[in-house]
Amino acid sequence: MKAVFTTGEVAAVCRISQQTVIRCFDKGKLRGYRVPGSKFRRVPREALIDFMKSNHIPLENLDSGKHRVLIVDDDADIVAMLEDLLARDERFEVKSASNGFDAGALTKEFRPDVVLLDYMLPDINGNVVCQRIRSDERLVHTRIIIVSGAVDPAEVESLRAAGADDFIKKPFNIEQLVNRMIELLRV
Amino acid sequence: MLTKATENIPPRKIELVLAQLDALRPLAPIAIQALEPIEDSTNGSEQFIESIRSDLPLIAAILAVADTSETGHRAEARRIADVVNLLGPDTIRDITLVRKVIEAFGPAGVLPNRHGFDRQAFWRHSLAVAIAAKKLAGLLEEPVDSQMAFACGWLHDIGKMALSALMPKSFERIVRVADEKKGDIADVERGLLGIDHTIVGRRLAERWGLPSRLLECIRLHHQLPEALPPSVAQGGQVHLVRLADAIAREQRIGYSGNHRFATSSRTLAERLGVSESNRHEIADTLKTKVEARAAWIADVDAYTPSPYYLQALAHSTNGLAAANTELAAENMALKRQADYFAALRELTEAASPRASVRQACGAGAAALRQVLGAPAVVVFAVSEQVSRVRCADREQASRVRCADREQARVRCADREQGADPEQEAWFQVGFCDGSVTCALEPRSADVAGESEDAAAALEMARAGHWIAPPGRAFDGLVDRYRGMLGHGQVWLLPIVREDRWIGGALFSVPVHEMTLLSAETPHLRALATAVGRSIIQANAQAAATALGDELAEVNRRLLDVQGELLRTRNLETVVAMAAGAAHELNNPLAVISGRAQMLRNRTQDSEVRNMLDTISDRAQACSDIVTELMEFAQTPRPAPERVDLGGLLHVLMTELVSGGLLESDALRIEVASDTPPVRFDPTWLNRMFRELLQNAIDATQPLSRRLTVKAASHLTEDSVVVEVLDNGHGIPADVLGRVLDPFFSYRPAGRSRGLGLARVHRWLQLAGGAIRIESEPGCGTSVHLRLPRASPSAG
Repeated sequence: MKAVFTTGEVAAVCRISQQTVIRCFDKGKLRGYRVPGSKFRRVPREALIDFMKSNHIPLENLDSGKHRVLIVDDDADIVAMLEDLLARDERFEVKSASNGFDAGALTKEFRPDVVLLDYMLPDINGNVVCQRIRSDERLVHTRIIIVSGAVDPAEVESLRAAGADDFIKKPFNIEQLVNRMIELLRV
Repeated sequence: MLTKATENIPPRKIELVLAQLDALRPLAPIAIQALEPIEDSTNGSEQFIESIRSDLPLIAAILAVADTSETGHRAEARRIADVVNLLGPDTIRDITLVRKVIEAFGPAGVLPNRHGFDRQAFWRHSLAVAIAAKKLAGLLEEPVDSQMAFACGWLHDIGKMALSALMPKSFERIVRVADEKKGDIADVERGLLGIDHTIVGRRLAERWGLPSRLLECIRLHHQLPEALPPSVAQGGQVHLVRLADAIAREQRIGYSGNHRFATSSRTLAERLGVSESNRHEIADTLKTKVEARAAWIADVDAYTPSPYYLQALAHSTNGLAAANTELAAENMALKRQADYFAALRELTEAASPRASVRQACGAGAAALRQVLGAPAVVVFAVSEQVSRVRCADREQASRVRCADREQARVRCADREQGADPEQEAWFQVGFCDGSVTCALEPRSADVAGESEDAAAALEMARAGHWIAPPGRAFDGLVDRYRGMLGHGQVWLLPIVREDRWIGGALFSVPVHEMTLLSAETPHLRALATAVGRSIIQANAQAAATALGDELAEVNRRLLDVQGELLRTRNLETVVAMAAGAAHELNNPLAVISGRAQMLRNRTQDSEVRNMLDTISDRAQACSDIVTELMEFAQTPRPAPERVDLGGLLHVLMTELVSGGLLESDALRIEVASDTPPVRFDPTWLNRMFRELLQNAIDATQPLSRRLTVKAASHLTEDSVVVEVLDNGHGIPADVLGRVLDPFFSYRPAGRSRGLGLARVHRWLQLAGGAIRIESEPGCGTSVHLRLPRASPSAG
């Protein structure tokens, strides 16, 4: 996966003129950096993705067009199962974390489109993870689905308030899960 | 002086003679009393008069003397005391002695008086000696007590009298011989009997208990002064008597039996130092004096009462009559006291530690009625806690265990606690700080007046003017019992203790009787206090019982709460457990379910697909169980509404019948017409009844089942009571206590989840209701529910 793009490459991916890219870069609408010791502009992947999302430019050109999914669950079997399920599906690119800390780090780097988040994590409350994700403005497009074994209506409400987009109960129907994910991503 | 004759008399015979003295009567004690000197003249003489008052012969003699006394007064004085004063105490004593001695020898008529001894003459002589001796007593160089001198003179020759009475024939002989020979009778006596009258006299006097001075006189009066042994104390007295005897004999007064004069009175007088002129004076006046006192020695006439005797009788009778009247009055007073005592005793006996206030009132009313003599007495007690007056009432006697149901008595009954509030208002009389509210007349203006009445009544009670007409505050009470009390003036006897009203008694007696009763105030007070005490005790007893009851109730509630608490704790444990279990189970279940689904998608083999479907389904089912447990554990908040039970039950029945679970005639619904709506979450209510009916259905057989649901309003609490009854197999006693436990299942075959009743219990707990299950194996089960009632105004 390409990590850094030139303005020309950005223009190609976005199907806009390089001039526009440069102007955007200079105005700060497109984040990036200059190569030290030169005036060449470079755009990191995340910045490009953000830019494309902000301007509603379809992302298919960027890479494979797969949706990035982050699975957060401390149960290894659950993670393995979900990974198996989703990785086979061509539409998804899957990464996983087993605790809140790793989830935080991966979220920053991987910039997932959807997070399947277990509510009960060993080190941190799923609630807090939600809030953390939502507080990051660059992740504003990320969809969060809480997947949990324990159902407490009051807590579901507070999770929604914290920024979760949906809630699904274990054990679940895998087709329903996938359909729900696609639905959320389409919006 | 011994003669030849005495040598012939054996000593034994002498003793026999002396022993015969026992046959003589004893001397009346009053005579001995008369001999004693009177120290305090007034009191002593009064006492003396009292002693002789009942002695009719003596009184008669005194009266006779008074009639013919030297003073010459006719006895106009009718009172004994006056007569005594007239004669003087000394004279009275002398007369007493004389009469009593004469009486000791009985009436003379018994003895023949031929040549024999002339009694009257003898008494005359003795009296003469006594009078002379008394006169001489004051004239000696060493004065002698005049009273004693008189007695000595009177009794000096008493031995002769004794001999005459004991052996009349012998003494006749002696007298005759002495007369013939003109000798000293004493010698003759000695010759014939071996002893003389001095010895006999002394013995007699000894027997009569006379003082020793007298004894000496009697024994020694014949002796020469020089011959007296020095051991004789009152030698002077002996000489005195001898002199007096000599004077009397010389004057030839009466009969002494002596014809020889050993020594002349003149000589004796010289020896004693009595002047010649005095001797003459005494000798000259002696005869006159003796004759003047003839009445003293008049014979005792036992058969024909003399006029003096009758007079004496009259005096005595009057005295007795006066004494009788006094006694009668005292008796009356004592009888009244006895009445009070009897009433008090009855009250005490009737008082039992377990008596109620009304019983205490009744007993008090009965006791008071006994002493007041009123037709009816109403006793009321002021209730301590509630400021309500509890009262005694005959009409309600049937409700009360009373010993006596007699028509005339006033007895007790009570206004019971749950009585008509309007009637209770009759007795709402509060007495704290004298403020009175009478619910009969609620106008505020009356309150002040009535408070004065009560305060005034209390003041009167304290001040001791205590029985008074009741004030207006008691009008209600009086009117209520007017029929019993009668139509006369009603009085109130307050029962007060330590400045506090205990109660009071109302009764009606005529006014004149009230004045009589006022004399018995201390007794009435005592009785009222006793009644008050028993009322206080009954009050205390009632309070203690009420406290005991409250305690028992509190205990029972405590036990209930404990049971509930235990159950709740069990439930909470389950709740905590369930929450943890849910999370732990759902993860592996999700893996099983997910993997099964994934495998299913990879295979075309329908058999395999089916098997994998089963796996994922079962996994889901497991999760459902966990969910149910979670739901049970963390029951969502109820949303209560106003629910009409009848409607809900009928709808439910329709559903069950149409669903094929229940025959159309198997369930009967009986909702009382006055059953109010309940406040409950309708969903829960539905599920609850469904659960209970399902249990009932499961316990019964299709054709024979009889199910009933009854609903009615609970009497005292704000709830509705519902019963679900079935005629199924019932629940054994050892299982019954566990049916509400979560996961407990009791079925003839297999088991269910066991959460149904536990859930019902939980819902009821949360909604403020209760459940109780009764069952008997073979007879069926009944489930009792208590549901909170919807408040009338809100929904």
